[in-house]
Amino acid sequence: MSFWRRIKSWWPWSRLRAREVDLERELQTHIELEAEEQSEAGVPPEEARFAARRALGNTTQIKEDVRAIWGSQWLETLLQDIRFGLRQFRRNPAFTAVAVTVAALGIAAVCVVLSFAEAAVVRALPYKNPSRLVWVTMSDARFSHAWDWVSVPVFFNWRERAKAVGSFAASERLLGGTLAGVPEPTQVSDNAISSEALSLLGVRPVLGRGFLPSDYNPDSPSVVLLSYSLWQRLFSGRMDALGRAITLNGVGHTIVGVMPPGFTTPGSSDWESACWTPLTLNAAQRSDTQTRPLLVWGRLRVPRAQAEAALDVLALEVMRAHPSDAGAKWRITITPLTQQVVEKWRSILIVLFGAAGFLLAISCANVANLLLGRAISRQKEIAIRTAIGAGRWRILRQLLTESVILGALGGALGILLAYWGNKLELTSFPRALQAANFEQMGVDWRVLAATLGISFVAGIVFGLAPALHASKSDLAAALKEGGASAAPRRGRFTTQSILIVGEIAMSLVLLTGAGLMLRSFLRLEAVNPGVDAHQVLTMRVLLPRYRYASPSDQTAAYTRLLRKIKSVPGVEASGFISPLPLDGINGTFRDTGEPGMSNLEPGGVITGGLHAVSSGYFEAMGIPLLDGRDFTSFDTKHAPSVMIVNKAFVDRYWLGRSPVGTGSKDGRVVGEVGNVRDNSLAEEPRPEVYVPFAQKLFAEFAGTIVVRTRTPAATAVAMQKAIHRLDPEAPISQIETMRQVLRGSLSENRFYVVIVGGFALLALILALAGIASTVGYAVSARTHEIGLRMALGAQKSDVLWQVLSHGMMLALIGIGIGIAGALALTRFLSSLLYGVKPTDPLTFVAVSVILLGVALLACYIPARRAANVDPMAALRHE
Amino acid sequence: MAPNDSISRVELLQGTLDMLILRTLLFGPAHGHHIAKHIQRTTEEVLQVEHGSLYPALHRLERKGWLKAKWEIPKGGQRECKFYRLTQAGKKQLAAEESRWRLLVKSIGRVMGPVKES
Repeated sequence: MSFWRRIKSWWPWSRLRAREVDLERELQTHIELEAEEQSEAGVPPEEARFAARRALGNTTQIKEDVRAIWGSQWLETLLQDIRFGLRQFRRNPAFTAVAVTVAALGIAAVCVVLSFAEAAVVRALPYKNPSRLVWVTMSDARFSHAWDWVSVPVFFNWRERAKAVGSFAASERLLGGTLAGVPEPTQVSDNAISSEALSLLGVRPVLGRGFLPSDYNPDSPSVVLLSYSLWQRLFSGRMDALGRAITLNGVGHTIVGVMPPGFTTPGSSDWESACWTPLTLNAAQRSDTQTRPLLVWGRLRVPRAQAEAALDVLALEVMRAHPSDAGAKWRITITPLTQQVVEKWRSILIVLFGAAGFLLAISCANVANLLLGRAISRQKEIAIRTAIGAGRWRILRQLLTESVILGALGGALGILLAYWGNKLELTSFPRALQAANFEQMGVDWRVLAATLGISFVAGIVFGLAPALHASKSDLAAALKEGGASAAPRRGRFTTQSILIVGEIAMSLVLLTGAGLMLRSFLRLEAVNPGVDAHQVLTMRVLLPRYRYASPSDQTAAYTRLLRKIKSVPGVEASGFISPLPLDGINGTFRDTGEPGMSNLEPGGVITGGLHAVSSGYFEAMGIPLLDGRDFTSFDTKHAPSVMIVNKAFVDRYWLGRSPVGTGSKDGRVVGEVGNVRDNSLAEEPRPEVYVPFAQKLFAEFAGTIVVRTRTPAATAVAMQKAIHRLDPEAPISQIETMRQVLRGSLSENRFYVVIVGGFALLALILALAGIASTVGYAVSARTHEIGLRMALGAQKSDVLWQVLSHGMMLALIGIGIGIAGALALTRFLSSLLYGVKPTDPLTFVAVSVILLGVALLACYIPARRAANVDPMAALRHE
Repeated sequence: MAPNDSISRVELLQGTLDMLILRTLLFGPAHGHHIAKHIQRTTEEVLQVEHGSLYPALHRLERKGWLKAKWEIPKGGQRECKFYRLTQAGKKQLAAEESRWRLLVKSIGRVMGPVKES
């Protein structure tokens, strides 16, 4: 037997086929033997064969009985139904095309949201068995907010002594590293990881090796692992990158491996420009509880409560031995990594799935309506089937098989649409969500399986009502000649009307949701950020710390840099700030309040945002100076420490009194400036403190140069040249106008509005089509009746009015139900809305009016057709 | 040749058809047509096996593992026929059914009294 034949014979299909053929052969042999006997008994050959057949009886029945014994009867009928269904679809290509497309739209929407959800939640943790990974954090019970970090000696104590509790690893973010020794010096985030961190996560480098125990020896040569994007960017993915020497923060490192695309250690969000080094600590560093906080994660071997208790004991042991803060009440908390991810995405995913679900429901209703409309042409066929013995269940099964095939076809098309939809989505992905897990968002096997399952269920859902209807046919009426268009059954119209009402209601809910989100977004866009973003250019720059012997040298370099920038042609005003508002990073300050201040936090503490700025920054950004003065070049390291506060600070702590002159020798307030929305446009401005960067520069945040200029493009080029003249190795990044920064901060909101709005628009179109086709269908079915009315004296306008009023009544009922539903459901949006209540009346009214208008339009065309019916032709048309 | 209008055809219960088939095959393998004819002849035309129930019964017995089937050419014939033969399990099943049958007959006989020979 040839190879192909062998495969085919293994396939159950062939086995069934072979059995069928065998049985047929057996029965034929029987007939022949019987015929032989009959002819031997003297019966003529023709008669003999006939008699033999009669003696055997109903071969079809025999075959069915045998098949029942084999248990393959269901498969046989399923295949039959599928074949018949496909033939039906081929014979009605227009209907099939429309039904499949409508179903595909709904399924595509669900598929797209599934891809997004998968990328956001499932891919967020690209590790082995991510559901078993946990965070371990140490917090001081006296303070309300928890710290994320664990002190070094505690971690090592756990590593040594808590092996039975679980395995742990740690990472430390060594902030703001510079990679040199490559064509383009790049700013990277360097993470130091403990030994076996990679094996704990279950991730292997895609090139080269991970860290060996010898790498953790402080005396051995420094090694580094690169992220995949870095490798691509700096070395074009060449294999000879392995073993190359580069300098990281001025220290020579050898590249020993490259991590897979999109890899990050838990808690770190930078995956593009990331690299990893071994966490090497000498004895002194190992017993230092203060300076180097570690992020700790691990896999537990015992239940959580037990683990927390055990780790707590060990931590206290260490902390007591190194008392730095007596009275601290340390507490260990263990949280699963997945919990954090899920909570972050819960509310938006509910909204997206809800919107997609509604769209799917609407398209199912549309397809159900289409199927109901087609049921008439099949009345005869079904009546005949019933007449020759098909039970109701059998007919139901056949019709459901057909609708499931329709669903499957819709699913296939939907997946194709979703594939393109995902690609489109990725091109305009919000900056705020740029992360490794989204880069590879697409239809993978999980999403595919889920979508196919949904298509299957959708097929049953939209097929059920039509199938129930069709299988209930009135035999006698249907079999009569012309029974096809005799009395159109009431039942079908009622079902169609219910479906239409449902569609309208769901469209209303979806449109309301989209409308609310749109209004909220428009409100956000109109918020005054506090800066004059008109003609402001920003450029992030880092003068690497390692290039300068001391912090003051670095400060001096920045000062020189700023002087140079001032003289660049095109620059009207310039300044420097770290970190830039609305850029996703912020600094915080925490200090004891002064006597005379109000509204202090518990413990007499004042807190707020912290920025290091240069003189001239406020002018460049267009932030008004409300009191006192700006920083000057005299506010150097050797001068008295000064600071500037914002209006929110003054309003909260000083109740509006002038803050100038307050403060201590640690920082005297010299001025007050206007509020800036720092964290996000949606949040009220909070108290902010600005310090001169000369007095307090942060090594960890790169600073942003801000210039006011009318020619951003040319100025940007000139600035870059100036910076590189000063330090050719300084990495420059994120050159954009302040307008772009503001837009970027809203990119996520915009993204969701576009998606939900897109779904709502599609739903509106589907509802329009659904109403039009259903009303149109009802008109055709009632042509005879309309003709009769007109013959008896009804005017065109009467007919028009009748059709329109019926349609509008359905629409109004649908809108009513929809409003009730929307009132109940829009509360899920409340966490995403800004400045708009979930029950905003304006949105509700606007959406209702739009939907009413759409329904009117949809009814109008069929109504016109009804009014133009020629009574003579209609009466003749039986 | 017994007239089948004077003695009405007795309807066979499904269970007994199985037993009859097994018994027929005790004497050696046979194909479906032969089995039907054999039962007909041996019971002098009283028991007419519905061919429609014969084949499902044969396949059922084969499925249960009491029969094994194979296409063979019978002695003296040219045409290939599907022959069924009894398996070991089949033999055991036959013995079990037979003893149950005899018990049934004995019990009914006790109630009805001895058979009067005419």
